[in-house]
Amino acid sequence: MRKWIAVAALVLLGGCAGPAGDDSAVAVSPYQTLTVPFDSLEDFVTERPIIVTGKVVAADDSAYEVPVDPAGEGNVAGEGAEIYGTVSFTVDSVIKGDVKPGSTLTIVYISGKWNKADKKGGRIAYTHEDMANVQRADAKLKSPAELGDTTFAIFAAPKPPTLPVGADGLYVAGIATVDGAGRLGFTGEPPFVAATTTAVKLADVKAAAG
Amino acid sequence: MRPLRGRFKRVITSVAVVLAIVIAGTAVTATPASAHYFGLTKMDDSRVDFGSDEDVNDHFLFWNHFVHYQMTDQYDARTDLSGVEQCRHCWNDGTDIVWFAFPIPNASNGSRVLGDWSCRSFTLSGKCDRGRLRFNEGLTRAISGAAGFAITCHEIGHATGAEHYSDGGCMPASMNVNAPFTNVLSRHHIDHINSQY
Repeated sequence: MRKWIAVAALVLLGGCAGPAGDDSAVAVSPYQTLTVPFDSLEDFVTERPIIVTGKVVAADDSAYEVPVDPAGEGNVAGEGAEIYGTVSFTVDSVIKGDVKPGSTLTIVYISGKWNKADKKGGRIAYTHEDMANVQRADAKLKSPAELGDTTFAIFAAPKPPTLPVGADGLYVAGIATVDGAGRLGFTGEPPFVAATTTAVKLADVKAAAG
Repeated sequence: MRPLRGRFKRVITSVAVVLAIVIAGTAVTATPASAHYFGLTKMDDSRVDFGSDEDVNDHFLFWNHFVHYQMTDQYDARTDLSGVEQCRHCWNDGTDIVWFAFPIPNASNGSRVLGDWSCRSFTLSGKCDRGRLRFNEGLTRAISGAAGFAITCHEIGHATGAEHYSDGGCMPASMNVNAPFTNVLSRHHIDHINSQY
């Protein structure tokens, strides 16, 4: 009898466990920024060194953990580490930048933090308005299977030195879906002030990139 | 037959107990979806303890002016919240809002960030126990008073649980720093706050 209970519990709980120890409490919270939009699509495209289209091939919402300096502003002793996630795209086409079709481009973002240094204190999972195309309401990333053949436009730049993840070859990016008619779908506020109310198309981005 | 039925009944009961435990655990941690999201990470009560951890005097003096008056004139005077200001560096792990200026890097899409808010510690009931509010220190002495009041009204709004929305108040998602939006709370926002606390 006890064996039956143990087996059932292991199967059920094992199915829920994630790489970041999801058996602990998780509080989902938005990570909110107030930004200055670019004056135009052209300004936005000029600022981004790499613009490609592609599809999601891998997603990991807890790829890196970075300890927090307890002496830093706004931190306390016993502060939990910050967690960074990655989304990898296989490049279908290149609009701008030194990237080859078929290569993989991986973007990194802050996905949460441990509530306390002791991980039993639970985890905060951050949602991002501009990532709602690839992120679920519970802050977990959608899997490549869930996204299927969804094509994304990726407006990327190399990871800045101020981003505390040590790994090389990572990027930060704004992303938008590209529908069958070539229209871009940003979530949250678009990163630029649109000249018209008509949806911006991939062809507009190509024209702006020259 | 009787021993088999008894064993079957015990197995079913055990599985049901395990399922109940798993479902209960999920209910504690799951996030309800909402078209108009407000209040999930709200502070634990209507008393808003806020304090600065800013180390640089000039940054502190510049931003403290806006934080102090917006908390007093907008949130304390116009809503059911009560702002309780703590002296600089006097905050603790249970302080609701800890603010400071910081060289915030550009957003992932390259746009300049004026300020941000994130939850840094939460209570076991899932509410934000300590929110971190940062202002871009590159804006210190570089923006108008109207912009400073707009940015602080906006970021404190996030700490109360507000998402971005455009209703004439201070919560739009983006801002032209040279032509800032209004720096006061909308009626909509006030009603949300008063229904939550």
